[in-house]
Amino acid sequence: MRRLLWLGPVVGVAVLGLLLVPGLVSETPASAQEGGRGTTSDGITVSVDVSDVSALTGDKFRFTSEITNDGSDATPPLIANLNFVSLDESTYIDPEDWSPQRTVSIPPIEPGSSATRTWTVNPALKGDVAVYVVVLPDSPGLATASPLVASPAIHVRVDQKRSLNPGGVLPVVLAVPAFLAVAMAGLRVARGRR
Amino acid sequence: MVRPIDEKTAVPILSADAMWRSFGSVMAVRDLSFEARPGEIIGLLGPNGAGKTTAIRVLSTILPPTRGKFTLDGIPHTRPAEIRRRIGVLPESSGYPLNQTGGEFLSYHARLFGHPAHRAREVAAALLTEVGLAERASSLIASYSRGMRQRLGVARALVNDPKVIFLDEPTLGLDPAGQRQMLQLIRDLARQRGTTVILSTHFLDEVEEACPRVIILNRGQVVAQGTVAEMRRRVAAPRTGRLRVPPEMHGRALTALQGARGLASVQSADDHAGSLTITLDEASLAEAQNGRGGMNGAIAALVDAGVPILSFELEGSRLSDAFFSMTKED
Amino acid sequence: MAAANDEVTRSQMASAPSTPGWLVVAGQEVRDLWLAGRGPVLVLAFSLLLSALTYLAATNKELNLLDQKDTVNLVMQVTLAVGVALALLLSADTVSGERERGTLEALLLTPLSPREIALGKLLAALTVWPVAAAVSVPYAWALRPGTGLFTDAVVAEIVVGTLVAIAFASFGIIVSTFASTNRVSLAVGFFVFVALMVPTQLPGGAAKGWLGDIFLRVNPLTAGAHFMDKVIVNNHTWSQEAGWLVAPILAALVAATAAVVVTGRLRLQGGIGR
Repeated sequence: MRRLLWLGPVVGVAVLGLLLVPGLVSETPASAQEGGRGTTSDGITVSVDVSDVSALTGDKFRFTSEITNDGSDATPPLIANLNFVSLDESTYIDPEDWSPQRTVSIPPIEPGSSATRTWTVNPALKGDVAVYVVVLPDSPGLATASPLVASPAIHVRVDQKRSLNPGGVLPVVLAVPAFLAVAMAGLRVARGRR
Repeated sequence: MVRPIDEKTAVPILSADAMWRSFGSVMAVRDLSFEARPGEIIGLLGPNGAGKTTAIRVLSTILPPTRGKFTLDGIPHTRPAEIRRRIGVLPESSGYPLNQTGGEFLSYHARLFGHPAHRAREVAAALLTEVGLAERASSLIASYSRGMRQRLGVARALVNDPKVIFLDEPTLGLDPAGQRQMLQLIRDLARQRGTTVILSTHFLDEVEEACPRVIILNRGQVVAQGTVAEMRRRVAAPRTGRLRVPPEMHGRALTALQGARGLASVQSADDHAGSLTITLDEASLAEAQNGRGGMNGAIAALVDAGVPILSFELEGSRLSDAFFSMTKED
Repeated sequence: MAAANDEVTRSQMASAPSTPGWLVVAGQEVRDLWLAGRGPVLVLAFSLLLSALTYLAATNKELNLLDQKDTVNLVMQVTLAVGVALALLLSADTVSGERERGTLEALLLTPLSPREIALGKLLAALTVWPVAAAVSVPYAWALRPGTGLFTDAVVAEIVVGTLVAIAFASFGIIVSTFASTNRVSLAVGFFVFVALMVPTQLPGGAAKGWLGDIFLRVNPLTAGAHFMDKVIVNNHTWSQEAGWLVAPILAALVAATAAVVVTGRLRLQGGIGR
């Protein structure tokens, strides 16, 4: 009994230290939320329903991300953002071209619940691209204080779609100048001067 | 259409009265006054820059006169569109649309002068025949030679059967045969159509050949006008004469002439043939201009020396003498 | 040699011609442009441009980089720009070009007034616009699927393009009347066109602000382009965007009136008045 007495102050100091120095332990809940409530990145996980996609340029595909609150408190309002990273130097990714809407707001998620979001990706260029979702609190203080939570990356392999007749315009594209050229030649022959 | 002309009594078709045209401070045409009768061919002579083209542009209403007036067929210059209906013009530096055929070009201008489309084609065909281009009616003007284009220009000037036609340097760039054809065409215009022709040129032989009347311009002013014969007489009497005497009398003739009055020089052209050239001195020339003296002294000297004169020929003064005399730089 | 005309014909010619002179001039100029001249070559070049553009637009549409409406609008805007530019350059060549080629004097020697001559030439130069618009129709048709706005787009193009073409072609003939050389006439026309076209290439944000807005509204080219853009891409009604048609309408009226007045001073030599 006497040996356990010195343990008490040690534990007390440890708890006090943990309370005063937030963020040192990842699973330590944030301190009092500024403008928010509940947990931030604590207890949030993001998952996606695909890991590998092969696509042709212009062939849109969709995937769903699920944001789960594994914590004990409701999350603050969240922002989910879709990101693209080129895995080869030759492919320049302009996010605007790859997805029409890349940032969405997620309302607070109750503990144990999840929110899903379907994302549309438009592979614009040939190459290897990693696509992932990042979640962060939708409030300035929390957003900069909390670590980001990212989903696993989806590996998207894009090949060039080869279409000689995009949108079915090829006949017009060829026929109109051809018709005009023939008409022009016909005019010259009709005048019979050259 | 033949219009019988009595030049002496016909009312002037064109009358310019003290006409001036200036460009800023430059007087291009000064005090131009003349009349032209139906069917006349009048040569408008002058060195470069004399104002011939400007005068034609004023008379054809391209430019308004700065001062003075003119009337054409009784129409004052203040009604230019009506005047243009009655005239034809071949401008000096006329260009042609190279992508049109000769027939298309003439039809177009015939229509601009009011011919309906079908009539315009007939007019064009007839005119091309008249100027000798019937076979090239369907050819592009780009393939026409210089002479053909000039003839096409004359045809264009005739689409409205004008009463007065202005031809500005029509033979410029033509070979001798082309010049001859053009002058013949001009004479035919006046004779057969009764068209008054104002021919602007600096080729004196053309004027001598084709123009009974001539107006000489210099620095925008009329320095002389009248018939070619009047021009010649006005400026110079015969200055030289060429005579032939029997070859054996050559020496005696030479001696007699060297002592004769009024001769500036006596030269042997050919000793064996007895040919001699004599030139009057200034005093004798002045007498000759006044209708006296002249070669008489030389002839008298030969007669007194008993030398028979086999032939005697005066080298008459030319229009070129008149022209250079009147347009020389002071 | 027989004369070509008789007295009856001469008296007919002395009175007013059966066909108005300006119409005769316009008819011949149209024949010169389209049967014997540059017209067919210009239109063929334009169609090749549209073909390349349409193919690229359709490819981008398949890559979902462009909306279908954007592709139709692109064809209409390029047609507006090129068609108007051609009308301007052809009209800028009319008088000064004839002057340089030495063919103007023969026209001035006809009974037609200078104004009639200029009107006929202006009308002929303007024919390039309806031809360009007609060439653009099959391309718009090919790009139309799913847009439901083919008719609206074509009508907007015709209305806006006709107004702007009249304005610029009238300006071109004014310049041509006074230009001392054809080179000057074409250069001035081209420069003015480019200067008015530049704002259409600015990013959208650069045009904001009250001064930028005024400039866009006053410039008939940008105003017309804006109108077409809103009607075709944003599905706005004509009444919603009617204010943007004011500049093209005014420009057409003012320029055409000025051309009628100014071309009365058409002379053999260029330069300002005598």
